[in-house]
Formats: sequence, C-alpha cells, structure tokens
Amino acid sequence: MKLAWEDPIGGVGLVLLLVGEYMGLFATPNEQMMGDVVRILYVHVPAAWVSLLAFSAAFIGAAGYLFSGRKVFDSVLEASAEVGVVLGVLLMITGALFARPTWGVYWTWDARLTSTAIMVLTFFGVLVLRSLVEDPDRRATWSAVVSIFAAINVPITYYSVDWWRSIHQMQSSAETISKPIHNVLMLNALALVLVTAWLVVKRWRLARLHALAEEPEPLSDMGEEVA
Amino acid sequence: MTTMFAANGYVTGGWSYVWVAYGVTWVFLAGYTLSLYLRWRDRREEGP
Repeated sequence: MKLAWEDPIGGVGLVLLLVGEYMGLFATPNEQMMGDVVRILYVHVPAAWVSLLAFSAAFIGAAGYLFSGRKVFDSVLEASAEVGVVLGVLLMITGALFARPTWGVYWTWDARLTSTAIMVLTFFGVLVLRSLVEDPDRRATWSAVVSIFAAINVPITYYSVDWWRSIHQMQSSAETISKPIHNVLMLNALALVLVTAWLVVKRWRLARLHALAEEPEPLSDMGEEVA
Repeated sequence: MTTMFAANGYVTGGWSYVWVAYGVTWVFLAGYTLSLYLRWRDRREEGP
C-alpha cells in the first residue's frame, strides 16, 4: 500500500502520543493541590488547543471559499469543522472528568464552559447544515457564512477566562507551571497537533472525492453531457 | 467513581477519572479514524 505524504506525520504523532500519555500517567509528579487528577490535563488541554486550531482552520477554509469560490477551500472547511467537533466533544468530556473531582461538579454554567459548548454546537450546526443542503454551491456558500459566525466563538472561548470571572483556571504558561508538567504537556500537545493534522488531511481527501463526484460531467462540443 | 477530598482542600485519589479520560480519548481518536477509513472505502467503491 502506497503511503501518502501525511502518513509519516500521523505515525510520528501516534508514537509521540503514546509516549506522552505514558509519561503523563506514570512519569510525571502529581500536583500539590490536584494530586493525580492533574494527569487528565495532559489529554484535556491539548484537546482544547487543537480544537481551537481546527476551528480556526475551518474559518480559513470558509473565508477562502467566499473570496475565491474554489471548492478546495470548502473541503478544508468541511474537514476542519468535523475534526474540530470531534475534539471539542472530547475536550468537554475530559473537562467534565477533571471538574468533578476538583470542582465537585461535572458541569457548571461558567463562561469558559458555556462559550466552549456554544462553539462546539455552532460548528456541529455547520455540519448538520451541510448534510441538509444538496446543491454543492449553496452548501458551500451557506456553510462558509455560518462558519465565519461560528468562528467568532474561538477568541471568545480563549479569552473568556480573562473577560469574565470564572471557576476555570486562566491560561497557564511555562512560568506558571512546573517544568516536568510543562514539558509533558507540550509533548502531548505536539503529538495531538500531528495526529489531528493527519486526520484533517485524510478527511479533506474524502471531502475532495465527494466534491469531485458532485461536479457536473464535462460538456461535449455539442453542448451535451459526455456519457 | 469516588474521590477523597482531604479536609485541607487537597484532592487525593481520583485515578478512576484519569483512566476514564484517557480511555475516552483513545476511543474517540480510534473511532473517528475507523469512521474515516470506512467512509473512504465506501466512497472508493462507489466510484466517481
């Protein structure tokens, strides 16, 4: 079987993810206040960052299609939005599993949690919209417009902990967390970026196959479709 | 799933939440990869 250019990227990402999650589970110290529950952050935080990246890529695909009219951008939107929703749901589940032992509840209507839920739901709405519209041009245009509105939630979600009082912790940096935890967090984030890039490219190829199958048959000189 | 909360506010225990979080992560990634493969295979079999 012939390997595509993205396959080595996915392979490296998978190996790094296995190593990173092993280190997150067994090779890093527990945190002073959160104890072993901090290990959930090695899967939760990368899912959060990479879902924001995927939704940003969907925005680029939407803007690209509206400016150029090229279906290749519509396929970028379709692939990135779908992968972003998968990661967004994963982000919310792992977040709930972190919240229960640390906050005492699985869910609260906090600004960060609520804005994340709205972001994931609006991009899920884009996917539903795409499944309902049969005409390829209308589907591409409408979903691009809705995606641009949905992408407004990306910066709102990221800065929600700064703009509103939140139970969710603020953004961490290398200066605010210990080096062993930071290094393993970065390793897991890099791994998930690579795995997600692989998933998006594979999904993009699928979307391109679908788009090409939808294109009208080329016309003959007589203006009739070629059989 | 049980978690022990010490009186001083420190979280102890909670490994069950950790295992579920990692398990869900792999189920999601593997499940989505499988769905991509199945859709790709179906699309190729349908042809252009």
